[in-house]
Amino acid sequence: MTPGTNNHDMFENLRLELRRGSLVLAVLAALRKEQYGYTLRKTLEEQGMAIDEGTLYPLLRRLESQGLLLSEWREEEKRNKRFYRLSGDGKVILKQLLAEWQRINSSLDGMVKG
Amino acid sequence: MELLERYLRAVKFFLPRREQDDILRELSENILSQMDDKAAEFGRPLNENEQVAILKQHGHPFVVASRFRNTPVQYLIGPVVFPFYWFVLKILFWIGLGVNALNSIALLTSGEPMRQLLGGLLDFAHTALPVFGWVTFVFALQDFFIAKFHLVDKLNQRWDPRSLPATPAPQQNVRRSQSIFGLIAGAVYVAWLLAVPYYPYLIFGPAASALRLAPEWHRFYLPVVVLAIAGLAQAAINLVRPQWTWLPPATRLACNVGALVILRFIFKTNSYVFVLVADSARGAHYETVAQIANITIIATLASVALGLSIAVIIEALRCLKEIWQWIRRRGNPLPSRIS
Repeated sequence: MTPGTNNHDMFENLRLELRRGSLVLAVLAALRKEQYGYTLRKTLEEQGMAIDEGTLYPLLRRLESQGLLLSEWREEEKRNKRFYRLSGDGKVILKQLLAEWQRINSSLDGMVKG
Repeated sequence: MELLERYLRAVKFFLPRREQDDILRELSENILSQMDDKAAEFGRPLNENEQVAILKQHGHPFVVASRFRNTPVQYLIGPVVFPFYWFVLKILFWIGLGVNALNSIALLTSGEPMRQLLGGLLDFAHTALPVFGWVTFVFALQDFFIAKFHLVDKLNQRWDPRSLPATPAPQQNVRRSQSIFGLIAGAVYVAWLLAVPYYPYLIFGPAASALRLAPEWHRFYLPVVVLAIAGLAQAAINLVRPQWTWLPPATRLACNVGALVILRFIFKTNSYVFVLVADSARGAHYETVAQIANITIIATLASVALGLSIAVIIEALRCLKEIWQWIRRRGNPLPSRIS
């Protein structure tokens, strides 16, 4: 393996690690508006937070089991779809997470620019 | 949509039973939405290759299902215990391999070397696998209790930096005089061993004209010479590399284990010495001498086996000490200001 490949792999691993925490925040923020799995994935992709199906769908179920999301099966365009939206607890947690994220962001900003 | 049905059935197989239907319903809906979207984009139904591409993008059924499992990460031996477990396994492996190698050398001199060697390797696998299994079981049990009683957390709360082991003393080299003595003694011993087949006098003295070692001894001759040369080589190497303090105990351990293996085969022999002249008055006399010699040899070998067994334990402990000190030296690269 060349050093270039090593660096690329290392960067990919670190990038994934960095994104992992932000994805939960992105999903919670996107679900302030009710959506079903596929449209949510498209919304995230359009906003520059592409996430693969294998990660998103289990994540939605996990967040729902943690009480942060609510889901409902409903018919749309002649097909039954599961719609997700933020629960009451989800709204509180999202607010706290956003505040924390902003704190981290400004700290990092200070360090990088300083 | 036959491909999609096959895909969902495959995913279902790996899903937790209680959630199968719910997960499949949602997964199916999401994949269909994606396919509809693509079909709308192309203005025609998707062909098989395009469906395959979408399913491949979702991932192998096993991988997809595994992501829906909410089971926590499970392991038999956790990260706290694992380094110790791995260390013990490696030591056992090398000791086992060493014993097996010596055993194989001893077997090489027997009638069917290849068959015996193959049998030896199978014996190693038969012995090693259950040993590894038990070691794994013991460590898994240890890990279970450590987790159950939160022992790591307790240790983390109670520990005191002052209770850490003292900095290892500076390494002491193998003494030059010790190596020179080992070299001379080893050379004399090897020379004696090499001369014995040609000069029985070196063993029997004046009785050499009437007594001989039994032919069974020839089987063990080569392994005994190899062990003697190993001791000689150790002394020679330590003369050049006195800092290799691990070499003397490691060589002694290997040689003692090898000697025990050889003894195991020697004990199976009934007669060690036989008489050359059996049908004269002189022969009868030597017959008695041979009987006494055989009894004496058995008693001596039994004592040697006992001594070697004790020595093996002591040398094994010394080796462990050397390994432990080496690990500490390696894992303690303190800056010169601190060390």
